[in-house]
Amino acid sequence: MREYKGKIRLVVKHYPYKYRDFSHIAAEAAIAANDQGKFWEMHHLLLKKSPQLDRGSLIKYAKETNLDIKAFTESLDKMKHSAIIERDKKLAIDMDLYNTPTLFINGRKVIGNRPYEYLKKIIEEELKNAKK
Amino acid sequence: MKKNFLIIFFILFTAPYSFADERRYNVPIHDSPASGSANAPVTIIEFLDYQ
Repeated sequence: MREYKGKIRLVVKHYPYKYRDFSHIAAEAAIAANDQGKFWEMHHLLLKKSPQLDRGSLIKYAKETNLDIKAFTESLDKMKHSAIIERDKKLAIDMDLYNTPTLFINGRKVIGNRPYEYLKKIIEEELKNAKK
Repeated sequence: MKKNFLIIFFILFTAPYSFADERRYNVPIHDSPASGSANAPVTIIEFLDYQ
C-alpha cells in the first residue's frame, strides 16, 4: 500500500466463515472500532492476533486501541452490525466466493493469498490502463 | 474462402477463453471501511475472514 500511496483505495468487506466460532464477532469488533474511527488499528490487530478472537480478547484489543469500552462491548454483545456483516456476506455468497481473502482489483478477481509480486503486476496493469 | 472461414471461427471460439481472466466484477462498496482517496485509479475490495 505504501508503495502506491495515493494511487490505491483499499476497501474491506467481511466474509465470516460460518463454521469458525469467532469470525462473526471479530467482524463486529472491526466495525465497532470503525464507529469510533479506529478501524485500521483494530483491523491490523485482529489479523495479527488471530485466531485469539474470543470476546475477552476482543475487549482487550479494544483497550489497546483506546476505544470507549462500554460502547464497544455493547456493540459486540448486541451484534449491532449484523446487518452490515450479513450484507457483505450475502454479496460474497451471491458471487460464489469460496475462499478468503478474495480481492477485486478494479473488479478483477484474485482468489486466496498471492505473493506481493503477483498483486503488484495487476496493480501496475491497472495503473497503466487508468492513464489511457 | 473456406480457410478464412475456419480461421475466423477458431478466433471466435477461443476469444472468450483468452479474456476469461479479464472479467471484471462490479462490486458495490457501500459504506465499508476504506483507506485512500475515492479518486484513486485503483480500487481494491478485499473480502476477508479474521479467523
